[in-house]
Amino acid sequence: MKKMSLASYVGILTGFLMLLSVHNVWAIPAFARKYQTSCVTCHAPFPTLTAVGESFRLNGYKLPNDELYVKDKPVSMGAEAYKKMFPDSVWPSDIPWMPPVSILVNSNITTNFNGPETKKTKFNLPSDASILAAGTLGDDISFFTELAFDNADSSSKVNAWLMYQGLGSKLFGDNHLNIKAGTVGDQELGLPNARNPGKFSNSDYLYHQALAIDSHPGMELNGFGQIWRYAAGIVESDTTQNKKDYYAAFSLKFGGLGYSGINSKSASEEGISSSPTGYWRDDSIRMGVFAYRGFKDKDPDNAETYDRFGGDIRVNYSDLSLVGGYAYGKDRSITFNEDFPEQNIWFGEVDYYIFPWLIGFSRYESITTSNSDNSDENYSDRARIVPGFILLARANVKATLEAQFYTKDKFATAADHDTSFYNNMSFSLNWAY
Amino acid sequence: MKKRQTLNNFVYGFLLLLVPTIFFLMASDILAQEGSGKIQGVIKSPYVKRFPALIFIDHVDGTYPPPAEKVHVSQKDLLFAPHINPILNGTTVDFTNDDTVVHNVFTPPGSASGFNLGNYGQGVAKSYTFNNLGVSTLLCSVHPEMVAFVIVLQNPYYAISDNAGNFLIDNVPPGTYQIKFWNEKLEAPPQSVTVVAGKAETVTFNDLKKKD
Repeated sequence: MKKMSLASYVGILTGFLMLLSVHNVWAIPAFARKYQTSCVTCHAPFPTLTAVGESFRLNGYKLPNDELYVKDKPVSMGAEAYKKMFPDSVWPSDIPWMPPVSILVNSNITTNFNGPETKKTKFNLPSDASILAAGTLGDDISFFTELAFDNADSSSKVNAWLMYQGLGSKLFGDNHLNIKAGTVGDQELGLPNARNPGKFSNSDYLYHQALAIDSHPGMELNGFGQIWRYAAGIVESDTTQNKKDYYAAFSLKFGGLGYSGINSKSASEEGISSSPTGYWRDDSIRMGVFAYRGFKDKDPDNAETYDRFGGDIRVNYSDLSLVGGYAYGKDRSITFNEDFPEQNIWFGEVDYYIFPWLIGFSRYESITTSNSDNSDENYSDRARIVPGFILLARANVKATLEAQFYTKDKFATAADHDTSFYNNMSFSLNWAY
Repeated sequence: MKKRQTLNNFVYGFLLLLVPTIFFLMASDILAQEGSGKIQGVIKSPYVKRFPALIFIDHVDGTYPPPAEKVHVSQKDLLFAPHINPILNGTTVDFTNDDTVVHNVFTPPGSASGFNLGNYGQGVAKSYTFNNLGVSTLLCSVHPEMVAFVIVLQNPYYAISDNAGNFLIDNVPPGTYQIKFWNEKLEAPPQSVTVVAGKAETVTFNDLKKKD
């Protein structure tokens, strides 16, 4: 362990900070324009997806019987009858009438209670912003593009994918086999509202941070039915060796609006289905599991594998959501044939919609490390409570007041400690248009 | 005095002609109504608001010659107009290029009539006589997004649904018929209906499926 400790841990920390630098939170008002519907049809509050929003995303940014609801009529790239001309013509499709571009801005004021810094309060106004574009190209192709910019370290990031839906649909059924190419993985692993693209609270979940799984360039197969969905992918690894990361995820949902977006009791022509008593409600139980094997270089001469296995559950009942997630992480040096400490990561959260525009939440998060002397902060035990309130001032303007209180973190006052791990309180403003 | 007498005679004569004429017209209208029936109904799908449907009787005994006048389909603003064109078998359609760009009209494989009228410029009209029953899809090879439909029918008993999906086929001779449904997005099985003189039969299309 000694011969790699310093360089490798610096590598880990660098990777860790890179992961934290750009908040790829996704909410795309271009869809509100396309369907002339409120943001809350799909988000409650943004970027957290409602049941309708989740089915819309899975379905390649389409509603069931989509063409009935599109107000912004797409530009035809060829009449459907041109399918009969193939291969003597280009397969027909369409593009959005207006460029489906949206801008999402995140900002916050954060006060650290402990730590050695003299400047305790920081105005990150804004902290980061994203330009998002997404939509459909005909019946069976969808696309997503994100250009994210971060003010803290002037970093930027591009995420983009293209998805073809319904491979072998005659054989397997609609949406049972879809293929996605681009930056993939990040959206499908773990609970949707605990991972960055759709996170519920403003701060990143420790669960997500500790998993250290970011989106990578690669390819993914996914599919879904009324109560099930899966994803499996192979992506580029963070190593110079000839290795690829791979992952798989599966989840089931009982009750509420199915993944397909069609209420089982209604006709397929119903289209936008949701709870009759409120768009934020979806009485249901969702359970999921995932596995990820990754490869990365701690430094040029030290490659390692990292395995992540997890399970999660979300129970929605009326205005209450109970959420829990667990993940096991194990890293191993390939170069030195040594195991690193193992980590058990879990969280539990309760969300309550006092009003559709005022939500209280409280989360407990914990990382425990086995086989470790707790001498390094990345492999030390850590636990915190994160209470807060979310105020949805408008459908596309959100304010969050939240705090982080560490109940366990022996490095909390260390000079080189990541500032995001101090006890703190933050007020954040997010808006999208 | 003589002038006044002449005017009176004219008025009396006019009334003598007018009254029986009105009676005759009313009687013939009543007789016509008594000799035919109606088919009315509704299509239960939100699709018909955007994509109107054609409802028609598949076959009615008798011969229905095409109209002497040609039917006109315009190509204007990069659109075919009208979008749906039900016509009688043997009808000739004039396709006019009312744009300032070159257009073309052709039908893809699977159409009831196969033709390609070539490319032609502004103000030019091309004609085609449709002699095959069924649906012919109209496309323009210059502008792939342009599409329209010609549906060649055996008889003139048809209707295009309104925004709410309602339709009415009037003056239908009594008899038992197959009612067919055509829509560019949906399909539905035909229905049998018996038309009785002086009555309206109701047909509902609710077993609709999206076309592949």
